[in-house]
Amino acid sequence: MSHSPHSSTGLRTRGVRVRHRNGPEVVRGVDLHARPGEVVGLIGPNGAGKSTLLKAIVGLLPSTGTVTLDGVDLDQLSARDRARSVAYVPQRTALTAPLPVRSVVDLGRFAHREPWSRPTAHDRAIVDAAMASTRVTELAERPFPTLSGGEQQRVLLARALATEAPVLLLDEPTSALDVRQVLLLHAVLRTLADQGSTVVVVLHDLAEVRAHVDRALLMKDGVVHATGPTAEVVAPKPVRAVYGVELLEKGGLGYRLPSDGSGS
Amino acid sequence: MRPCAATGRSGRLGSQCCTSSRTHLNQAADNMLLVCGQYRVFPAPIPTAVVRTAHPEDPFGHALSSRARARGLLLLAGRPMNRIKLAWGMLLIALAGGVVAGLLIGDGDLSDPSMRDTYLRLRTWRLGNAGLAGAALAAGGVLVQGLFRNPLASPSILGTTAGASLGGMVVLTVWNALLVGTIPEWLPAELLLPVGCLLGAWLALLLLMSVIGRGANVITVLLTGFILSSLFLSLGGLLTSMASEDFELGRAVVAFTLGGVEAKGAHHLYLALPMVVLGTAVAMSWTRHLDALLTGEDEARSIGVDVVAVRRWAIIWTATLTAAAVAIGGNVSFVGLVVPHALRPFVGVEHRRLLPAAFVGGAVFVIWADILVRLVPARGHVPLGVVTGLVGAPVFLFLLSRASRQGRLA
Amino acid sequence: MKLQLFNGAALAVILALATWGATRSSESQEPRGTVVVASPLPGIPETLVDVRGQTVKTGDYQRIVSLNSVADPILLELIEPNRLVGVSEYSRSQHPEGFRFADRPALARADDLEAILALKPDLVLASKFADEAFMARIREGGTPVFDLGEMRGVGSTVLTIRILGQLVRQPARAAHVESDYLLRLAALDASVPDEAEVPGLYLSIYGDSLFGGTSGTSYADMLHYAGIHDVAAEHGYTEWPKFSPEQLLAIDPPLVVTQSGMATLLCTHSTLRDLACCQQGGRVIEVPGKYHSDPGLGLVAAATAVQQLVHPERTPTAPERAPSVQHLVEHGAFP
Repeated sequence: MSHSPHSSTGLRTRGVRVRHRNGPEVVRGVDLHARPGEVVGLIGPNGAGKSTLLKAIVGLLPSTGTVTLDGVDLDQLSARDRARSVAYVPQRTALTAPLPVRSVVDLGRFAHREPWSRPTAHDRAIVDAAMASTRVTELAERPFPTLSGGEQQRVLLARALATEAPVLLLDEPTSALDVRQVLLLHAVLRTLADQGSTVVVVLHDLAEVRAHVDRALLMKDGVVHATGPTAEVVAPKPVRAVYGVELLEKGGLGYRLPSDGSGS
Repeated sequence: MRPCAATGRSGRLGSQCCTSSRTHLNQAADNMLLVCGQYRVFPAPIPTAVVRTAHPEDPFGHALSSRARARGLLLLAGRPMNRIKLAWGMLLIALAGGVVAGLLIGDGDLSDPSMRDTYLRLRTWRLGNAGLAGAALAAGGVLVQGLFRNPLASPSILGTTAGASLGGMVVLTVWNALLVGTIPEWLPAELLLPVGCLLGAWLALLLLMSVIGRGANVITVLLTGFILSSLFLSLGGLLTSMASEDFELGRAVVAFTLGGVEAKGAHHLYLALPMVVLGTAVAMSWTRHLDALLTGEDEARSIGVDVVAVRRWAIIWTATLTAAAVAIGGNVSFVGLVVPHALRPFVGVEHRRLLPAAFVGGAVFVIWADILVRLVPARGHVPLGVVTGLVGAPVFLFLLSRASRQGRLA
Repeated sequence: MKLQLFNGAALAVILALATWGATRSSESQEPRGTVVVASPLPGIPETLVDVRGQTVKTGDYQRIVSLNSVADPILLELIEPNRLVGVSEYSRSQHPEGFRFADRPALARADDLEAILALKPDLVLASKFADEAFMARIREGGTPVFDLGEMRGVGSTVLTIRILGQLVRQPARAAHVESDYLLRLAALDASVPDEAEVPGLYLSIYGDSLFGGTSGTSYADMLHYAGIHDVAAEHGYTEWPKFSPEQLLAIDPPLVVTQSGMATLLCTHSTLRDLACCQQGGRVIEVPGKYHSDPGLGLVAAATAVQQLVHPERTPTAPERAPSVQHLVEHGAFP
């Protein structure tokens, strides 16, 4: 997580297309570029292909086109090396077994360890740090399924951090969170980006996008409709064209974390 | 709490800019990130007990502690490490007790000095074979339950058990009907049946692997295994119906399908020993992959797991283990299902802990079941598979109802 | 990939080890002898080879355990009774003549290894489908096990008598048993000439399952010596067929020999009540006890008893060896 922001070119996709098995093409040629140090928001209506694009980048769905990280084609990497390059936080987890939280986070170290080997001091330190930064340290011994939705989301994020991958992909991480948890999560993402990570996050709430994301990629029907600084993308014209709603620049609710001298 | 001097977004991993009293963790936790604004490593792992008391209002934590209290035995061992030690202690005591009882109990009278050695030798083999069969089935159960992410999967789900049974039946019927007396010099006659089982299991495995191919999902594996099982059972039924025209052959086939180790000797032991012990040891290399699979195939792949390879080898090792078990013990039911299930509350769901515990637990279960076989008064002997089923099914129902009442059923 | 290669290599090593381990100690096994055909001639061979190819010495065995129900009563005729130290569960508990073995230190469980070894046998007699592993354990203790093969009626019983005569070195007594057996069968055969035989078959019914017993089995012999013409064999059935109701209705035997309690089951069964044997003039004969399933010496008693019912006018005298004859039940027509 200590990549210099200038020496790398970040995550880049060119002409990525994904077709569901025996189904229509869901992603139809997407170019995306996310640089180290920035938080890129992936937005668009339901069915626009955001989650599918994310899965294609992780390598969970077969795709055409190229996905490169710092110029290296991810499709050429082994499963282990790819996992060390790209970390992924799914929208929902299939984990229902009572695995303790610490073990879940420890799975993030999978691609760094050999079979049979016990975790090294380095592994433990990384896991400790990941759990601390997502504030799940005190949940370490709790079985994962007994956690609340917000806690589970934080554990999954901790697991992604434990991979030490320079790229972090999150699929609608805030959809199950209350407003405070949303703010806390974005604070973590911001910290990561500041440390040189590349963060791509699928979001639904446009106000949230405006508040926390550096650049946005607006997708519709599997293609990119607009891309650029958040203020340009989340603007009345593209939003009307893609979502069919009027963007109200004024009014509505807003919130932020309390400024008790500690800042955010 | 001391406010953090270094604010903003320039913190470094692991730096400590603030401290917090552990008793205030709960309140502190939510603000931690904001206070520090950066990663922070706790000075030392926090003791579980402190965490528990720090969450008195947490409904989950509370439910957990009252549940632990209700468990009685577990109360003494609330902490996971203690629970694991307790489980291993109990397993080893039960194993030692089983070995002693298995050597002492039997129809033969040990006070007869001329026969003592013979009886002890027979009982040693019997113990060894029972233990190996149980260990193999329970270890296979852990692997297959990890593979299917389902604690209700049993090793027989892959079709290799049915394949092994079919192989055994083919040997019993075909060899006894047609080829009596014609076996190669190097093969002990008593190994014909086990070898038939092994060949049947490997054939079933080959069929399974060739049908599911490389990219199949778990459901395909499940369905294929199920269909293969049904096919082998049907073929076995065909053989049984042919054999039942012959009174004694029919009886032999039925006896084989119900399992038993009373007459199993050194050949069986040496045949199964490497498959069961080394097989389980090598299968241990996949335990972290199987842990990862608990989170689902997509997530496992996203953290670097070669899902196809895990599936392939979990299937191969499960098949090897069950084949060995059927070869020496016949169809011993419920071991692969009930033993891992009974151990999970003690040792947890992580495979590197569960697999060795199930290995020993399975051995203990079948060794004691075989002792029960000798103690149950009956005119003919009670088949081992019947005893494990009679004991295993109610235990399993109990575990199931308890788990479902506590909402723990995954 | 590395891990997969390692697993593959481990699998190969494990299979090699298993093969080596399992066959390792087979070198110490006794070499198999040449096949010696059992002969009725007075010259007794030194060794006999059983159906599994195992060589066993003939001799004056003093502690014989028999797990073969045909051999049990034959041995009582060949050797001093105290030399037969264990008999099959069937012979002692289920056979109508089990009283003959009542004083025997018999086996509570026929299959139990330790119970057999506790009798310290010097010879164990088995039947064809005893578990090979079980036989191997007994042999390991130095006790020879002889497999007497199949039990299929008169032919196999005569063979068993001859083999046992040689095995325990009593060929003269064996010849006597054999001739006595054959003479009594011949008497039964002679009392009902072939043209006087009535058509019928053997049948047992369990739930909906109908099992026969015909040519190649002891049931065919029992029917023949009882003066019954086996119509199942005539219809091409062999050994122990499982009949469908259709097949049975196609044969439609006027006479059925069956086991205790099965006549009612047969003639009240919805698909079988129309059988000729259940109608006026048809007959269903229940053979009580376990005589019907005795393929050995007891076959004479079963055949005699059935013959008395089927051909009462032809049976010369009440045979001395049919103690259960008064229990034979005859069923007439069912309403």
